[in-house]
Amino acid sequence: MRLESVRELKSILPKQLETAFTASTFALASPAVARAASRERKAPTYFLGVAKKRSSKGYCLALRLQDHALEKSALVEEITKRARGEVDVRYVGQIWARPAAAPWYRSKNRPLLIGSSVGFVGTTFVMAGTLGCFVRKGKSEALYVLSNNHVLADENAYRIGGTIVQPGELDGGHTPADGVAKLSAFVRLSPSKINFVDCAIAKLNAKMKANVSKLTGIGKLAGVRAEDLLVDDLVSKVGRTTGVRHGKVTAVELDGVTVTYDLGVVTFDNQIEIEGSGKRSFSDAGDSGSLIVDEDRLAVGLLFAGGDHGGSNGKGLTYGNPIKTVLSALKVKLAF
Amino acid sequence: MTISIDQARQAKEAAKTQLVELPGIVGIGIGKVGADYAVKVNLRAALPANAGAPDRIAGVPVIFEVVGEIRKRQ
Repeated sequence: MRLESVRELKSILPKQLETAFTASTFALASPAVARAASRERKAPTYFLGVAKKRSSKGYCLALRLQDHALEKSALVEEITKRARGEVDVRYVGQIWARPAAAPWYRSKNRPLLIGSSVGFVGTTFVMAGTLGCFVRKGKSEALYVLSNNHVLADENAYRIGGTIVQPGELDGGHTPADGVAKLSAFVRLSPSKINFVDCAIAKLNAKMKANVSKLTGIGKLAGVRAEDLLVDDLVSKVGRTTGVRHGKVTAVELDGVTVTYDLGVVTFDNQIEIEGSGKRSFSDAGDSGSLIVDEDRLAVGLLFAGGDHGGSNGKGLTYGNPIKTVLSALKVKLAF
Repeated sequence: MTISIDQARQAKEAAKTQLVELPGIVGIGIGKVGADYAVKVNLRAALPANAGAPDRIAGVPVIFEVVGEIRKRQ
């Protein structure tokens, strides 16, 4: 659709739907929706906007659902029909005002800090991951941000030279004001072969300053660990969502680790597995890209995935690429 | 005698073929049971009771753990 057509549809649809979908028609359409509607609100809530099409040029209607019961409802069907199928439907849940004071790792930091919010500029959604650490290439003194492909390169989809913002868009970062680096290189994620790393680098903009060795809340980054990580080794990380967390290695040399991405299921060999210390997980969504360090603050891994089950405390397990594999795949050296 | 990491590495490779029929494996690696190295088999969901999951492979203990779906942490 053209932008004007989407805008027009967006402005006329709510009124038309208001008359078409009263609480009683919901009751007929779907008992689940009726239940959701009768709980507190007059009608299940949704909102409309304009989205860019992911696959081709042009725009489409953005439909954001705040109630799971709406997902397969007559309302969504009707909106999809009226938009002639050109609609991007997503469940977003209830939205809360953000607390006034975000922690430092979800805020803007200059000089740039390890563990802070960072990300590409999304076309259809906003995101944030974690700035892992800083690296250099060859003999040049120029600094690069190291994080995951899915944090800096949108799972292979972002263009080389694309702007990286700090904080990430999900934490209020905007381009151009918060642009700090430009995507420089990434290792492609492939659903059809064995992968070893989920990593990318972005070159810092001219005059952008970075504190390359401060692991806020942990200490000073001491370098790269020469020996391989072993089961039961103690590790830490600082990340955009959970800040500083400590953990223990539960498995090494893990092969056939299948991870769900937007582009499909991607399989990794030779991965590290970590459980959180105490009653907490080691990481959560948004901590992707965090640098994992050992007790001597030597870099050992790049955090990229996790789940909600397992671990001796039942809080789920976190997965990381061995940092040496990451650095050699990108032909870079750790700055510290 | 404790089981070494090299014994576990060999058992891990054997496990890849031996356990190929088991449903929902989302990773096979090296873990530990006390001082012994072990083969760790990660599962998306619990195995059916009659799945025939071995306690040991080539004398090396096998840990089965349900880890659920693994997703990118974004």
